Amino acid sequence: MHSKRLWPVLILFLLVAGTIGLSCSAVRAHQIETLELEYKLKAAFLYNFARFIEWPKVNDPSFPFIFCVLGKDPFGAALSGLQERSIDDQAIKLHYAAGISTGLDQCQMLFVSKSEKQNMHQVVRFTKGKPIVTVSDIEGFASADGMFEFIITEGKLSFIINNSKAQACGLRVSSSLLNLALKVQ
Amino acid sequence: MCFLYTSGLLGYIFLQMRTQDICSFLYFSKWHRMKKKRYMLLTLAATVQAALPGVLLAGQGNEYLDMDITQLMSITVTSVAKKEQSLLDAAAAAFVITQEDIRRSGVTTLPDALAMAPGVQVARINSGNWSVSTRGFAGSTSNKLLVLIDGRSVYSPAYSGVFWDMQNTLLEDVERIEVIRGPGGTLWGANAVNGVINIITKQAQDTVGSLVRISGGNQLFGTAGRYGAKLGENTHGRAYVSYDSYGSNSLYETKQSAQDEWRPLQTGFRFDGEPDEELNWTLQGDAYRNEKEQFVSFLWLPDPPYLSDGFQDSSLHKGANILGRVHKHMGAGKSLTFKAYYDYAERSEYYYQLDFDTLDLDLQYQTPWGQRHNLTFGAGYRTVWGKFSKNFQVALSDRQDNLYNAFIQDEIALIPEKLLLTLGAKYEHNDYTGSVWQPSARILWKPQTHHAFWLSSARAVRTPGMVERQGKVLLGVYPMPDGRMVPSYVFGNASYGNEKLYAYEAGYRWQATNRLFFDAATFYYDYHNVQTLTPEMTPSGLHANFTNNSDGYSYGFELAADWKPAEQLNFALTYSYFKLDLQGNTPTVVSQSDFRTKSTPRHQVSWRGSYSLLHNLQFNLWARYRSSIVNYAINEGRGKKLNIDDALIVDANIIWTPRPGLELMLAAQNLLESQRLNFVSEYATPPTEIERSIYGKITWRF
Repeated sequence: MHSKRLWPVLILFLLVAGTIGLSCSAVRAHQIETLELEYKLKAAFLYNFARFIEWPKVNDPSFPFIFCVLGKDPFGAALSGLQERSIDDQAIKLHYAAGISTGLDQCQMLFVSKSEKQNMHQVVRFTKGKPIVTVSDIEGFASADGMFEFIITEGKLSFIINNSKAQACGLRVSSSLLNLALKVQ
Repeated sequence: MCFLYTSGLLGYIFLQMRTQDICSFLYFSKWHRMKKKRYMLLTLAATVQAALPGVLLAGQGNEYLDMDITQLMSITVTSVAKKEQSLLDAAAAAFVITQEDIRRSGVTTLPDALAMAPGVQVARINSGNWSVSTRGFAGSTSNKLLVLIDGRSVYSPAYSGVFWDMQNTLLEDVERIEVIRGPGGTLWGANAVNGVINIITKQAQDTVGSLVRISGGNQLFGTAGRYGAKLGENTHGRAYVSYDSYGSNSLYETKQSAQDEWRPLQTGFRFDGEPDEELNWTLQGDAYRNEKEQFVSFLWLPDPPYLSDGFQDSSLHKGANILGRVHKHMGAGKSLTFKAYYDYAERSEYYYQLDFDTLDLDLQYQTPWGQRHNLTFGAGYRTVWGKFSKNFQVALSDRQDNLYNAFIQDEIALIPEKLLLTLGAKYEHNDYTGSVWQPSARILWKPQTHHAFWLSSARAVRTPGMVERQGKVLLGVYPMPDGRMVPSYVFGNASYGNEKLYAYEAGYRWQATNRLFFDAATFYYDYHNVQTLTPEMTPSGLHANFTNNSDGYSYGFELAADWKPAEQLNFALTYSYFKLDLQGNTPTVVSQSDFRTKSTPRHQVSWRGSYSLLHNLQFNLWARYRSSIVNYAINEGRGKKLNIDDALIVDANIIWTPRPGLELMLAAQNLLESQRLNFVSEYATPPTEIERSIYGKITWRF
């Protein structure tokens, strides 16, 4: 009699324990997954930005398009696919920089990682007047004279363009990109 | 106090832990530091994920690189709050049962749907009787719950409880059911002591088209139809009719038929209009006629032979209601709502007949005030005419009761978006106990977007029902020493007062990912002047009076988790712990505190799982467990104890959608046992075992 009542309880316990256990592994997987998805999307945005921006003419077309990441690399493998692609027939080359150095002068596009939040103003000053497209997901980057700022609204990834800054650096952002931006400054 | 401190401490520790820590804690080992075990877990995770198509393991490449920006901008990166936003931000223990939850559960009645919410005790007593309560005080005459259907209160003024067999809203038209455990007196008014259940039907614009439903099985035959249409530029309307017939169950003692067939017939309509962006209105109404059979095993009579034989009683319920609501936006966050309804309900049983007319008017205004305040205030008036006949079992005299109320609530953004304080107070005046104040204070803290903590403290009041104030209920007839037979009554008491509750609650919600949601709530309730029966020896015999002679406290906690590991897989898990302790101040008839404290299960678990296969085939399983309870069977002699063992109740169904609009369901309720005693009514209904129900259902939308 007793064992007859025990087995359904046992089944329920297994169902409950199973759900809790699986959901826990899911929390981990999902947190990683969510972050991974976010930077995969950001990488794809960066590639698209590059295609809709005109840089001042380069003398040597065989010169690669240098794509730089400043600070702690949040992309991992999400960016590596860029090396097999090109922008206006220029091969893309990735360059990872730990800090601000003269090497950054070579960059056409510079992604400023969140780890560089303290140095944000320094980076902006460094790139002033240079044809370097600065992009970051640091909050307030566009207002601090950065060019592109990633922003997540209603769960979707969007961006703010500081077009006056881009123009001051001799860059031309295509109107279709400007139209898609959440805000143009 | 110690309890609150402990839960606070636990909450703090929880906050300090990161997700990973909590999870590894749940695995009872530091597995992630031990390579071997980690490997095992990864294998398990991989197996599970391989088994569930749609659970995507993050790949190595970047599949988004070749998409254009418009496509990229449509992809959701972070979770938008999955739950109804207003409830996610509520500083209260709130739970939402959605239309989809109802559809998947296979339930055919409103009270059965409520069992999906944590902290709610639902037990079917016979075909049309339920015990529905939140946080204790279970019983067929459970009376501390406010139930609203589209803003219309449906508890009976006779005893402040709900006749669930008279609430037959078309389930397909229910948009959602909000279950708020804990006092809601400030906003909702008296009787919202232990909880508020808010049944919200769809707007008419969401039910355009036709629906036909036919169901049949060993315990149930049902049919329903609804037609909705666009009636004008900005006006929509719908009308429905439903008829169900529930078969009889069996008596616990004799295993013979309980002859408790129940046949509800209901029809209704709803119109919604939005003449401009600032104004919207609703006009809706229902009418119903239910037949219910019941077996009355015996009945005390005031005259010889004093005790009736068992007999079959056919009861009839009739009613109609009409409700109108106008909502006006006045710009800058200001809005005005006016609501009015008229409700007629008639219930005729062998031993009593109730007849109620209710008129209710409500006005509410909402306005921001300064930078940080959001004020809501309003006033209401309700009048109830009660007429009673067949007075020999439950005697009540005809009367009209008036109720006035006014309330104010201020939401103060102490730190915008992060820290929100809500202060409120309701003043209510009723004809029995005069002025009643119900204040509350709630605080919501959102340290991060996906985390919310809340604390609340409130005073709630249950005002007397008509029976307790001026009723006369025949308890029994017994011989005096001199050989005379004398009837014994429970008398309503002119000094019967309010039952009071001081409630302290705390809770936490966490949207862990866009597919995983956790909710935890804990409470400590301090009750005063709870209903009791006090015996009194008088020259005419031994009687009892309704009194407020019991105090006590209850505490408990509820956990809920919602997890959607993949598009086609859903889990919902709830656990509720509850304990009530009541102390009588004077000797009471029947060990009533015993009845109240043990009629609610200590532990309740509900597990729902849903899996969709091939996009048109869905499997649903709902298992719920409750620990043992003790009921008192009235027909086995007064106060005969009946221990009801703990139980696992399993419902399962398959839904097949062969083509859009057509849905076939095969469902089983109470799958594990052919019949089961769930709960024994403390009044009249003999102990009844509920039969296993297997039915098929065809729903066609066109």
